[in-house]
Amino acid sequence: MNAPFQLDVTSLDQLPVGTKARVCSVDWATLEESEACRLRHFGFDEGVAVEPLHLGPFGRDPIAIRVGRMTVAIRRRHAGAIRVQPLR
Amino acid sequence: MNPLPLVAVAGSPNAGKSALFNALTGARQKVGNYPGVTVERHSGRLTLADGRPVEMVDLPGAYSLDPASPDEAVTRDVLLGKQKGERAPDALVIVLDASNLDNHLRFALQLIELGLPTIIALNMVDLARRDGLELDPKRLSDRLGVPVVETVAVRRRGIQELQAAVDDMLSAPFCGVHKHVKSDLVHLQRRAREIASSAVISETPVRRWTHRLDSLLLHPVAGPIILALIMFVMFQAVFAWSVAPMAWIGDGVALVSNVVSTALPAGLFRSLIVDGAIAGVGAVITFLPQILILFFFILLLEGTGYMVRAAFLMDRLMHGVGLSGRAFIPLLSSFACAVPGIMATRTIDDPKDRLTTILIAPLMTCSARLPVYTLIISAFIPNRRIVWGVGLQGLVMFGLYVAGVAGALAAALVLRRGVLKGGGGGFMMELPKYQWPPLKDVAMAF
Repeated sequence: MNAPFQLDVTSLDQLPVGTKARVCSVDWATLEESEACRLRHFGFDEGVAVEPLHLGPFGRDPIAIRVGRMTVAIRRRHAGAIRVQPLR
Repeated sequence: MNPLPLVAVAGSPNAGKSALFNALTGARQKVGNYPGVTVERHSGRLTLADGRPVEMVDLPGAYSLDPASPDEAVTRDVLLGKQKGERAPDALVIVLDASNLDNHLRFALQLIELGLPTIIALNMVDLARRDGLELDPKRLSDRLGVPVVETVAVRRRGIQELQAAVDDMLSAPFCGVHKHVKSDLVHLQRRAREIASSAVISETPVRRWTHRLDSLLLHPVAGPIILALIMFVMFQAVFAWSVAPMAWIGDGVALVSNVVSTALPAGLFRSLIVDGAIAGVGAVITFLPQILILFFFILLLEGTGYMVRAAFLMDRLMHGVGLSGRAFIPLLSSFACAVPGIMATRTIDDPKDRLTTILIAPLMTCSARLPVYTLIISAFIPNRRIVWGVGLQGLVMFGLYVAGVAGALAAALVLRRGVLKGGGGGFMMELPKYQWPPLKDVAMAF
């Protein structure tokens, strides 16, 4: 098996649009209970494939992200709590 | 006498639950794409093939039994038989979006664990195929241990099969136990993913159309321009399209008052009927076309999935006054009427965000204010054309609406700095796939 070329781990808000990545970890402690719960509902979890698709027109916030088969919009601040490993 | 069997329809937001409920019961219900349009209790009756009636209740969309919003708390409480004024359901129909199984199955797994007789409606299989996804409902059914029926609720496909499955389910003897073990979401999610991928027959990667449309409609420059254009066309249409029907209604009212005037002897009573009742009611119903056109546009935006995109585009600006993009939808609905607008705020998770939105919603120009605006505009503003297609009257109307919005935002800013200080003000929303709005359901909403 060819391992994908590994790039440095970064946070989801720093990931350029159109870059596929895998979630390494989520810093649940920085999120409020209901926010963490909603992120889990959207399927954010270690190992899940994510890809930023669109940025909001003002201040590039919020970010539309593909998680698995679903597209969700979250704010930059919350995306910052998600560490990702870009794939190539 | 035994009460009717109660079947609850549950599912994640954007699974097409309301459309399926409409198809099953024929109940009049509004259909939207933004999360949580079904915040009220919606019930209806399904008549089985042998004539037995079944009561159906449509639960608010939820992602899991661990609630992150008041809507989801209602869903959990009904399912566990803890909701006041609602008996525990006897059986469940779980609605899943076929193209989003890995997410929606998590909730389904939690529901199946409750131990109630359950059927799964694998909905929107047509959209999944359009995205190049072929699923095996048989294999899914084997893995989950409950019957799976393929449906396309908005096209009324698979509904008879689903009714038959409900019939079978209720005919089988059952003695159920309610249990809810607070299960580990992460564990459930992994199991859901594993089952979802085992049900996939084939998957062809296609550039999805929703993504292509979003590249234009959520474009940093084009997106806001298109949004402004849509709003502008909407308010111009309210004025332009309503001219003819308003004239017909005016003529009709004049005709009726003429007939009545000749039929009744002159006097106090005739004046009461003609100048009071007919002229009064006439003045109000003249504005019905404008109100209907506005409602039509709002339902259309909801039905296509554009409404959530509008929230996405506006979130940063709403954030500036301490609100979230989610508030944009209730506030936009408040253009039609503040009451459904305030009802729609129930999808906002944060209590302070919600209260602020409720307080400013009545500042948006609702359709009942249209007659007043129209009266003032036609009295003081000349009916001149500025450039082709843009009338001065329409422009002033647009300006009045903008003033309402500006006032509301200013009020929000003051409230968020003052009495309603604090609170997270998050924005987390699913962007559903675009779809052709089910015109039948839009028509039913009228």
